[in-house]
Formats: sequence, C-alpha cells, structure tokens
Amino acid sequence: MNQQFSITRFGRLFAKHTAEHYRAYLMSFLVVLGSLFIFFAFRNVMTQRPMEIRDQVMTFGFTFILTGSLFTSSVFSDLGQPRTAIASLTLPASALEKFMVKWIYTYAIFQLIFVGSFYLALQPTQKMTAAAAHPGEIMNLFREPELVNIFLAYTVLHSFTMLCALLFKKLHFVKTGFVILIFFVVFTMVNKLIMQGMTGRQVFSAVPFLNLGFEEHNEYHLLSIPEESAYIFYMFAVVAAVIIWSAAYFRLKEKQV
Amino acid sequence: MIAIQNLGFSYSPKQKLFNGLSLQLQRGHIYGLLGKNGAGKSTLLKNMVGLAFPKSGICTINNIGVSGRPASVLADLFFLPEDVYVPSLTPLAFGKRTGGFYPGFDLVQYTDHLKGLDIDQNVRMDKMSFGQQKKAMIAFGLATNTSLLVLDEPTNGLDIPSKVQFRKLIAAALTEDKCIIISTHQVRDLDSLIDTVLLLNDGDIAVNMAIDDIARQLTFATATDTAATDVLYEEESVRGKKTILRNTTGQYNRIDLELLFNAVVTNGEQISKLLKQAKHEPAI
Repeated sequence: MNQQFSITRFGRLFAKHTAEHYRAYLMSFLVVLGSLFIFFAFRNVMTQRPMEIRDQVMTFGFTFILTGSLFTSSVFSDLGQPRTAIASLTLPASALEKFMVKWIYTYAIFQLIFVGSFYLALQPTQKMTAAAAHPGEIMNLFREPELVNIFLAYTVLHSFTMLCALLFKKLHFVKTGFVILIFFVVFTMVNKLIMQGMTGRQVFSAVPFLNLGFEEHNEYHLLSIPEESAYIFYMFAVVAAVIIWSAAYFRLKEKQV
Repeated sequence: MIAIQNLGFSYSPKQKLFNGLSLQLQRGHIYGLLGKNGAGKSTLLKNMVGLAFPKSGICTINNIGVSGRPASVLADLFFLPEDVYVPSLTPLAFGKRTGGFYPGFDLVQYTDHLKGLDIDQNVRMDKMSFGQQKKAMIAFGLATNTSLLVLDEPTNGLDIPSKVQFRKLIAAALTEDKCIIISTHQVRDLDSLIDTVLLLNDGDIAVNMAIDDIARQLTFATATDTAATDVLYEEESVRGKKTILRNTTGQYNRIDLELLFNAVVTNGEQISKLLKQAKHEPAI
C-alpha cells in the first residue's frame, strides 16, 4: 500500500468530502451568485449605466479575494474541534491526500465556480439599463492585465490562509485577517527602512518587490520593475505560495488532538 | 500488536502525565482500560492511535510507528472517541462512502449491526440523538473488521438495552486476530466483557493482568467482620464490608472490578505490588 498517495484512496476521499459538504457548498454558491447579481442589478439600475470594465475588474478582485479567503479559512475548521479532528485524522488516507482534497476545493474548484458565478451575474445585469439596446462591455478574463495580479494575489493569500486555518482553532477568518494585516504592515515598514538604508534618502513609498518612491530636486520619482522583468515578481509570488502550502501540509501532518 | 516503550507525555512542561510508561497488548484479547477522571486514559489511547505524539518513547502497531499516521496502519484500526462526530449523511450513505477506506469493511454486517442496535438506516445521522449517533458509529466500527478496535467510553450515552446489545456485539466480534481496547470509568459496564484489566493510576499502568489471573491471586468477598482476616482492602457497603483478600486456596472467584478499581486508586501500592509480583512469578 502506498502510504503517501494512492489515486483510489484520493478518489474515495474526494467523493466522501463532496457527499458530506455539497449542501453547504451549493448554498454558498447560490449566496455568492445571488449577492453578485443583486449588487450588479442595483448598481446598474440606479446609475442607468452599464458597469465599466475597470469597475468590473475592481469588483471582481475585491469579491474574489474576500470570498476565497473566507472559504479557505474555514476549510480546516474540522481540525479545530477534537471530535471532528479525530474523525478526520483517523480516516485511513494520507495527510497528502487530505491536504490535496481541500486544496483542490479551495483553490482550483473555487476559482472556476467564482469566475462562472461572476459572469453569470454580470451578463444579464449589464442589460438592465436605459440603454438596454447597447449593453455594456464585459471584461475578458484573459485580456485584462490587472487580473493576473489578482489571481496571483489570491494564490499567495490562499496559501497563507490555508496555513492560518491549520494554526488557529477558532475564528479562522478574523484571526487570519488580523495576522495578514500585521504581517503586511510590519513587512512594508521593514522594507521601507531597508530601502532608505540602501538608497540613503527619504523614501515615501516602497511597496515590497514592486516600486520605490522618493523625492529628488523637488521632483517625485517612482521606480518600478520594468514590465519585461515582471515575471521575477510573479515567480517570487508563486515560489512563496508553494513554500507556504508546503508549510501548511507539514502542519497538517503534525496535527495532534 | 501494540507496543508502547517508555512513553513520556505531558500537556504542559510542568506536569507530566506519563513518564516512562511501557505496555504490550496482544491480539485475541478485550482489554479494559480503567482509571479515574483525568488519569490519562483518553490521552493514552490517542498516543496508541497516533492522534497525540509522545514527548519521549515510542508507540507502535505491528512494529510500525503510529506518530506519522501511515494510511496502512489507519486502515487496520478503528478509534471511537467518547464524543463522536457524524456527518450529515444517513448511516447507509456514510457506510457506503467511508467503508471503502477499510479493506475488511462489510456492508451487510454493518446494516445487521444497525438493525441490532435499533438505528434507522435512512435518517440523517446529524439529526439523531447523541446515543443513536454513538450506536451508529459503534456499528460502523465493528463492521470495519479492523485488527485493532479502540473504544473510548463507548457506553456513555447508551441506554440500558443498548449497553446489553453493545456487550453482546463486542463479545461476538472478538476473534484470535483482533485486539479490542475499551476505556471507561464506568467499570460495571465492562463487567463480564473484558478479559484483561489495565488500570491506569498516577501516570503508570498499576495493573495489567488477565481477569482469571487476578481471580487466582485475590478473593473478593462481603463480610460482616473482617477483624480476624488478612484484608488487603475493605470498604463499607449496604450489605456489609466488601473486602479484597489474598487468595490462599487458588480457587476461582468472581472479581469485583469496581472494588478492585477503588482499592488500587485509593490504596493501590499493596495490591499492585502483589499482582505485579504474581505476574512475574513462574506458574507452579
């Protein structure tokens, strides 16, 4: 018997997880779809203008990251209570299989379902305006450059949320949000201090790995990574996510009741 | 089958629960793990099945360390906690979805056990009472046919007919290749079911002995006047003094688990030493 991964065992675990959670997932899907639909309809009817691409991207980014983080932060809530943790940990499947089932649901399946819900809600509501004969444009998932950053941000945030979901026993979302906020503030401040030390001048803005803003001869300058080198930033984000996912996996492996 | 060597475990660095506990459990037995509240019965069981990791020492099942929770080890053990969790599925759906993880699972046997314990197979388990949930999980655990069955306070929450049925099912489930461990602080529930007593006291196994061997070493009697006899332990009851005496005749007598438990917990040194000594003496 393969102790680490067996496709039969994994399939069985995936089917069991689906059977036990499909009601909650279906309900969550309907809530997200309904909320998006109501928001788009309300906004378009009130303004009598279809939503512009830029606003669609912003709405997509905000709701995608918020709902995704909320969902991911609850995925290991069964390990927070002894009775549910015992049932989960003693089930004859490897830690890798248990981790992968949750990863697939919260990362791969969630993205597909959310994108589908977003378009399903957006499409009809773009026609709900006075200018119904000229419905607004719909953002193209593969053409908007900001969407790459949104998906990348979700990837890093997902890994971090998954780790926090395993570290905390209760109030996963609130605690995860707080940890992320503290981490971001400290990281940005330390980064700014390092940048000031390296450049020897007053730095006004320093978003880690993205840009550096400073004043020289009463002129404000903003240094950014050249577009052709942006892949370094993307690679860094993916590597960071993989490392944090690995940490979450080992945390699951070492979980005790 | 289970080997625990020099187990050290604590929830806080100041207070050690176990310090060098060693224990060997074999197939073909029903072990009754007894101990006071907070003695560490559940923690010991969790260490045995890989839910808690020893601070020192090692726990193995069939010579495989359980701390990594290998899938092959989990597939051959079933652990029923005191507080069971059931998903929002019917017992039948749960059996079909979860049984496949256990190579020895028998669906027909499972449905028979459910009937025997008076559980409706088509009602969602999360809508059942706690006692019914527990019975459904007992039925499932027995139907997994794993070599190791670990039950933590299984009779808590069961009504009287269910306790009787539970005892019957466990007794019927024991085979030569199975090891069943039942932890409880309600010793009367295990009467006539277990064949070996494990008594946990002060972080160590104070008694680890077959019921028959205990009966050969000790006599359990009720007497009105015990002044003249060599009493190891006595306590008042409505029917006179319940006593534990040294069995000098070697005649078999029915042991009173509750009395033995009280004796070891309150003034255990003498009896524990006597039993340990008897265990290590060669049989004549």
